[in-house]
Amino acid sequence: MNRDPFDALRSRNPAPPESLPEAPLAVASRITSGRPTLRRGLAIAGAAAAVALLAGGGWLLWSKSAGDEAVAPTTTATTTTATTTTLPPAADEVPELVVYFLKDGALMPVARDLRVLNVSPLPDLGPLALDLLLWGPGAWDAGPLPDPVAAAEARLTTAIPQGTRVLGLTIADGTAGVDLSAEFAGASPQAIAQVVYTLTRLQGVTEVGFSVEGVPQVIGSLTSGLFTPYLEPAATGTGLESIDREFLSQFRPVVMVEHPALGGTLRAGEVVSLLTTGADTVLTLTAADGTLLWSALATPDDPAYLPPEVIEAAGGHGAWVTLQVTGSEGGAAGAAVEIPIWLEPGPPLSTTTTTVAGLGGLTPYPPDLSAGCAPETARNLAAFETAFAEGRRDLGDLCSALGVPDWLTGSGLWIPVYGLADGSRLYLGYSGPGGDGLIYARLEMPDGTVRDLLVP
Amino acid sequence: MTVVGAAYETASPEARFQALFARHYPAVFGYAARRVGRDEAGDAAAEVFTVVWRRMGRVPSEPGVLPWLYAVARRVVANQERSARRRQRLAARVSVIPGQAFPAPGPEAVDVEAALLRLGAADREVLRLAAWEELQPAEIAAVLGCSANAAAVRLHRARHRLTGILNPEDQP
Repeated sequence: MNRDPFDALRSRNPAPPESLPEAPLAVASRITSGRPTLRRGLAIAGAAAAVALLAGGGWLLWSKSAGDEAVAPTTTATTTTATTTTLPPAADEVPELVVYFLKDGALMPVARDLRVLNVSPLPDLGPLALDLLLWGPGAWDAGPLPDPVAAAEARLTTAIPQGTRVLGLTIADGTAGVDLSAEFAGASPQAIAQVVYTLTRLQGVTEVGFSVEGVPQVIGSLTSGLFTPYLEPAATGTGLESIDREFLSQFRPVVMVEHPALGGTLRAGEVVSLLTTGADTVLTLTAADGTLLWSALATPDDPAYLPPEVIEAAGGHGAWVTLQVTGSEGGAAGAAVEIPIWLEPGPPLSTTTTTVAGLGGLTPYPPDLSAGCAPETARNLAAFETAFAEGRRDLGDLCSALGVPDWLTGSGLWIPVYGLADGSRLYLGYSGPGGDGLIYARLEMPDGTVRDLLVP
Repeated sequence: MTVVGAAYETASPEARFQALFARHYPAVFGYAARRVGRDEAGDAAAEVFTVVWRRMGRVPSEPGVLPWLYAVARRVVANQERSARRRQRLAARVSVIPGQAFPAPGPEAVDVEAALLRLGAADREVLRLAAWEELQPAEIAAVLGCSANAAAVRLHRARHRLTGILNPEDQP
């Protein structure tokens, strides 16, 4: 048995060339008739999964922020950092936006704390995100930046041509159409990637199309395999072209901390999500003294998550911590990312879990279970009561109407948890994974009282 | 052939798409069939060409088209596999049946397909691209979005690991 296994593999082709069907030209005609749309649940589920995975951190932060702050208003930090102690807590508002600058030519997500704006309500987040991006690194200095952030920020650059202005932004069906001024016409691939990554960080945006001075642009590729984008005015009508993150993944560094962004806040209980570009990348997190705290194997298709307890070990909450994650592919020299993040003390989750006896701790709802879910809608009790009254009790139904749960808990039972706008939490007890057969729906009020919604 | 090329460049997007579809559909179908099975391959191939139609402005010129199509197909199939894995994970939480049952490791029991399944996803894909799509390292690089050198190194390592699983006694 000295045959080369590779030759054996070649002979086991499950679909050899001679077995392949002719091209069904009717399918081609169907595709070209009208603006193409995603087909079937498969494609839609796939698109949703990509958003949850790629924008995983943002999703966690955004969907959790309202609930957390309502339960326990932001605790005043005990350490002395001007930007976090002097700002009023912005309850019920998105506290930060994330924009993408460049570090050593690769994308770097950077947090912009919106509380320094001190306006209520906040302006539209889409145009605001673009403005923050166009202003470039170092330009968000409403308050003195804490040392570790200022040092990291000083090493950032941007590829957006100077003087570029936003002329318009529309967001529909998951696609953002951005109209930029003439300066952007010769923009580099990195600049295009910065805009695409920044806008797709917004909830519900998966693709971005470009116009320059109102003229729709084709997003061309200079080389065959590696997608290197450039813009040129569209000549014929295939509509406004749009592009998603995956086609620009080569502009990511070997290791990218997607959430929290540089200078951003990690709330208690949240996970850090990391993306890699290399196959089989080993990620490691080490303490300042060199102790290995965590390591995991990551691939470009699946982000790695740093669990909360590792973060606790790295420095505890209520402090600035510099995450140092190293990635190396197949034994090659490692690439390191260092980002300062603020570890915010959050509501002690144990108080919640003691009132609902025996449930165990809450963990963020796994993003990879959220396929088919609607974007987050208004979280109020009435919406759930209506759903229950109409017989929609399976998690699949609730999720597709009311969005992804915020947490998951349960030992034995499978219990997704929704944080409601008024600060209460809704525990849905299911007999098993999959969310079929609701056993109970229990509402826990901010003051700790508990009420059962489904009376048999 | 240059005439064909020039005609292709000036044709309408619909005509260019039809030509591309007729020429490359079987290969894209094959790529999908080898990864998700023939039953699902038709849907996957249609999905790939739907993406292509949206991106007609960026399709490279020949001979770069097929690797580019495989790169699109790889993402479509990855999404499909991700959904399948999600379903498996859910199922795994209800049952206590251990996951994939591989034959006991031993030179006779383990065959090359089982060995392929035991490799990492990246190794598996690079081997399939070389063995089944019969791509050269430069083309594999175009599909995976890496340099030709990196593709050659990955292929070499993957072949080495495949051999290691099948012939453990040959390994140092």
